[in-house]
Amino acid sequence: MSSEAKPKKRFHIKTTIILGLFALGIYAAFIGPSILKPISPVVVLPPEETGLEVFGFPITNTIAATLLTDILLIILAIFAYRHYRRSEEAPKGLLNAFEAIVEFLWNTVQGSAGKWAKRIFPIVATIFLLIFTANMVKLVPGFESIGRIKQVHEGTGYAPVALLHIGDFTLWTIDKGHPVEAEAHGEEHATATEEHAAEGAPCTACEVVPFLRGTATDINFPFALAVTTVLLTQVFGVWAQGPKYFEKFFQFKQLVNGGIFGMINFGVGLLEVVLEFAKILSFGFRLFGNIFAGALLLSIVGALTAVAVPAGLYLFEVFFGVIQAYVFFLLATIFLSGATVAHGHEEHH
Amino acid sequence: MEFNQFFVDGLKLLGAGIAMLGAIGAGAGVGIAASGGVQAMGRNPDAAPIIQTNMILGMAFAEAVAIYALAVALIIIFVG
Amino acid sequence: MEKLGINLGFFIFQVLNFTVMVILLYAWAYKPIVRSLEKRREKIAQGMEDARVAAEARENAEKEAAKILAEAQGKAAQLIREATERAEAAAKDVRAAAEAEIAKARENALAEAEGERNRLLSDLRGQVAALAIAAAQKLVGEALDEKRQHALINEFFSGVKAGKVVVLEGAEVSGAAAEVISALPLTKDEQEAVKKDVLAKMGKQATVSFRVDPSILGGLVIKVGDKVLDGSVAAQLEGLRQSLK
Repeated sequence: MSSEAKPKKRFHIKTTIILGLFALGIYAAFIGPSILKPISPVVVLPPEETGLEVFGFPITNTIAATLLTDILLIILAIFAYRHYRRSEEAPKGLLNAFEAIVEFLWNTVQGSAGKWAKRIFPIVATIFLLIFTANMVKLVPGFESIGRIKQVHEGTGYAPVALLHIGDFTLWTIDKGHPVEAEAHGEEHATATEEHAAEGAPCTACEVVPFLRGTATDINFPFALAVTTVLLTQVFGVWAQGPKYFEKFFQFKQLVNGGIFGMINFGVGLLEVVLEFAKILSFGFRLFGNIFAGALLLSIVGALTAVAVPAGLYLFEVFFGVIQAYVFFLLATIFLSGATVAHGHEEHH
Repeated sequence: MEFNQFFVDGLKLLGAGIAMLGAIGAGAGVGIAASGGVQAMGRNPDAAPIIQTNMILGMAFAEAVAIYALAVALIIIFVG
Repeated sequence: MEKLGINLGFFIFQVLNFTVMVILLYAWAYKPIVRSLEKRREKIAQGMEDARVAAEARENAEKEAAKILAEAQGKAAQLIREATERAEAAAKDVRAAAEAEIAKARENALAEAEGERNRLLSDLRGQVAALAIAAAQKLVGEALDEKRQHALINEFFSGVKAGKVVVLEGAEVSGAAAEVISALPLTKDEQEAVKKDVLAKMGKQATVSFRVDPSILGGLVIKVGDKVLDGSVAAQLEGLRQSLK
């Protein structure tokens, strides 16, 4: 009896938890006090500053998330290093998953790059792991919701409400039930609605600037990867083929010998130069667009229907995070390994 | 003056929306690529890895058009 | 561009971050993991190769064993077959020899018995003749010419009159073998005479055998194929009896 009862019991526990969470969501969104209500998001493309600075370099929330991603990966790498120094056996638990991912990437790169796989692999694998980890980390609750409250200078802000006082530190939240129109500078103190501006509040019409925001929602991150990849493509091309690599772009031989078709081919070769820049654009905007749109969708849908629907969208986001990381990785692999193969040679295949 | 500003802002948003119409073709292209890829994999499962790679490559190129549209739309909204 | 968020400082930070991560992950994760993966793959390949070699060796051994077994079985079967054949041949020989022996012994015994009987009968013949003459003398009361009497009696028994076989008079016989049956053994001369007569009728190649059967009382019965020339006294008596009825 006990062997049959156990999974049933666990099932009941899970059902209870899920139903409880649903009830909590309904309470927060529709019944509870207005401070619990979800807020429709403010669309901000550039990364926001968290107020921290290192040697005069401002740490934005996306950079903080990048560093968090880095730390996670480095911890994993250190554990992997410690494990593989001791034995050749497959590790257990999380490290095994890590190894499985690395093995999958390694097989893919080997399949398309051949003998250049060893040189290309660290670059593309890091691309995959960074994007993958960043996309997964950004789904953790607290991202894009916990932050510093800041005075808005235009549009609508919300009145701050103090939740907790621990010594000098005060935990604030913003009250959706009391939107405050931001006024012009300098007048903000005068127009603060007195009854809602709590004691010692840093602002009157407030918005939350999150400490952490998804790395890929910062356009600098995908573009940094895209530019690096495309530059490395040229580097690998020259490394593998020497100066002959640039014949792909400037087909002077064709221009001199080829007649009218040679001129067309020369023009096509020049188009390849444009294509390299287009690669940067498509690389960067693909990742950015997908992840940013996903994050936006999540917060908008979360604000509209706080219950049940965002859970499904979260699942969708997990899927898209993996797919985008894989696509970026695969395209980088194909471009890098394609550069190591002579152009004319490729056409004959 | 005030009215003209609002008018221009509205037209900008409209333009961004129209720019995103470029995603229609890209969506259709990605769908066609996926359909062809899956059919090919169904016919010749042994060649699945090669087909998959090329399929994703083709989808990426098709999707690039939508990405250009997105870039144009973003630039219209935030930069122009 | 500022509104899109593109910022040279952050961009350079991301590039540097990426470079650092490539180096760190390469040193701490990729190199050891890929090395161990390759080693494991090699080990597996080695294991597969070993297994293949072992399987091949086993297969070969099995084949060899099967071949040896088949050879041994063939040899054993051949041995058994040969032995059986030899034994059968020996048994046949023995049996044939025994049968021949038995047949010879029986033949001998039969011939002996026949000879004995014939001898007894021929002894008897003289006595029967003497008795018959004596009885006839008593009956007739006159002494016949003894010589003639003997001739008559001999005629009676042998069915041969003046050197000719009585039953063969006017008869047409043909065949490969003739059997001559008499009530008492014929003398050599009589046999010769009968034989000559029979052969004259049937041709030189025919064979003639003689048999003694006292139940015919006298005269000769000659069987050629399925034709019977009955010149026996018993038949004549039977004919007489039939006509008297």
